[in-house]
Amino acid sequence: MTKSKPKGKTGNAAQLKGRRLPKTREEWIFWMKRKGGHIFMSILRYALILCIGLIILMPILQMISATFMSPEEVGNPVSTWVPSRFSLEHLIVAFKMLNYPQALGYTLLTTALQMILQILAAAVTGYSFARIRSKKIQMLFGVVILTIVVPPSVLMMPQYLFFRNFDIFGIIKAITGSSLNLLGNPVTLYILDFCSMGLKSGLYIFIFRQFFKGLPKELEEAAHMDGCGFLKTLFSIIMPNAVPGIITVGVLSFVWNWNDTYYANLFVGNKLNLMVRLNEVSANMQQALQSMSRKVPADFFFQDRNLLYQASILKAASLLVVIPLIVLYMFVQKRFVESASNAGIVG
Amino acid sequence: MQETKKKTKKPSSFYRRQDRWGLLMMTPWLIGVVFFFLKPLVEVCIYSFNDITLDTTGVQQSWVGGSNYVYVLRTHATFYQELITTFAKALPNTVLIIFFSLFAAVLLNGKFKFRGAARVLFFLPIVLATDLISVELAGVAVEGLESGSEAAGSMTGAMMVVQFLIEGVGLPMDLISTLLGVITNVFETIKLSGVQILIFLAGLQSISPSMYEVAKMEGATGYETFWKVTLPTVSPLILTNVIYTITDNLMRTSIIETIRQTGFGNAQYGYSAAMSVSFLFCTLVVVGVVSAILGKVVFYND
Repeated sequence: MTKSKPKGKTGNAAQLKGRRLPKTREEWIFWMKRKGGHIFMSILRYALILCIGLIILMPILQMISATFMSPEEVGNPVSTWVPSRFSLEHLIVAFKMLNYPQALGYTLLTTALQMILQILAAAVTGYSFARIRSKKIQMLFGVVILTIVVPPSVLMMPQYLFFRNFDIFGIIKAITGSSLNLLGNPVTLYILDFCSMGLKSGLYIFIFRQFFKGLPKELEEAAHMDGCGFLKTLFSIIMPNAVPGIITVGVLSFVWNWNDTYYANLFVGNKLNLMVRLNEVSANMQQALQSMSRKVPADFFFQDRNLLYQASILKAASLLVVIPLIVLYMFVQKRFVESASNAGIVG
Repeated sequence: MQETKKKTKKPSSFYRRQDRWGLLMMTPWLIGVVFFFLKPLVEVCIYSFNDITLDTTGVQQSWVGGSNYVYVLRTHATFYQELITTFAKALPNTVLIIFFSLFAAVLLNGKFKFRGAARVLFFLPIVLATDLISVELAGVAVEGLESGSEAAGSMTGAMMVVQFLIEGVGLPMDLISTLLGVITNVFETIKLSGVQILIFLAGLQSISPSMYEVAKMEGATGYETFWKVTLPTVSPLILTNVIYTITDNLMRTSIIETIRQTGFGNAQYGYSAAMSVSFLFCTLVVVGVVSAILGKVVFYND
């Protein structure tokens, strides 16, 4: 599936194994001159990858270790990483604090919907930008770049006011007598996503445009010859060929919407959103724990004023929020890595 | 005769139809741009020159000229410093991230065992909620240092090392904090590089192998190949990545919180708008200058 790669600098391990090892001193020197550099490079490469990989994995490992450590043991220098006694207390408290099952359901649903809307909007817009030949329309692509560059916080206030007094050319006001307040309703996010003005939507248009530019025009011409209309061509010929782009954008959109607190806080602020809830809790750990004190079984360690205990609970809560993403990533990682690095972004 | 006419006519009608439909499909985006981008952009500029009050009917404005800007840039306690620090931090961060991600992409592009696993690992930061984890860890470390003796009995390994360096070895606090800064910067750089690695890797994959074959035939060393083949080919992506990194960095600054707090917390909408416009102005200038400079260096193959 993958395109043929440029010849790497490292020696091929299989090749090395097959050759017999040199015997005399001269042979060794000759062999080292030819292969020594390669072996050295290869060791260096693995060492680097291992180090960087550890740095990346460190926070997760730390979270896992803190989550399952028994509370009495936290802060004990003997057991920094591997707890001597396992306990589910942190996990249970965090689970209840986040109101996990409902919050997870809500967050999954809204995020998935946002992702679908963003993919659809970006794919269609990106396709149009890739195929319309009119120079004037092409100039509009500069606006897409502008939407990527302008920080969303700049537009925060007018957008907020717009949704506070939402109206479509005065129609709603004419019917109900007052304009609609859409704040606090996830519909605001859906509207923004549908219009490609959501979180990083400009980037997705950019990715899709690059991708569709790489698709041969003959595809549509052939479809046209066979009597396909525009919509049928788009949805039954083009889209199935755009799977790598869709996967790339889909993963990015899901993950970023999941982790986003800016839009969620500003326009919705629903406590069921996992990230919003987690941020709120982490800002006010002691209060959050105090309100929990009655729901915790009596035999729990539970100290709402203990800083280390608070930190452990917070780590367990973070783990709970991140876990769905990691599970999702495990499922799509192969396709994602393949499509993103082979066809996704560079047309 | 008629047949040839048909043949020449058909593609052109096809393209015209494609243009028409394309425009139709773009309408949601056009509406979005007008209502959620251009209109707010103009409005925020207008607000920044007005004193704004909100009531149930909507927005009341009264013209105050440039006094909002004077207040925000001169009188406001932190905004000016925050603005400068944001860009002063974003630029070195961007350089670090670009170097690291190019390096990582080259590393991941070669042939070696477990390459798939390594790539999965390197893209993992895209998935993780990086802000939250790092913020939280930093917070715990600071708390530990502040409460000193009380928490001394219950410290994690890293903090014990820090404590030892300060008390035992007697290194000055400044030096320690600089060192810690560099170390956390490594973490930050790696965590924020996911998308950039992805983009560079995609670019490296698109280089045709025959280019490398030619280089090899001509007797180029690996070092020369990198400078003469790899780097020029991915140079347009450096521009893309730099702009992406700058905008990504700007989404994480404390300025956003200041703007929000001023606007919604203290109900000083005029000041908040003036802050937004100043921030936007700086962003556009920085991005414009950077892309103008890089645009001269970038090598386009076509």
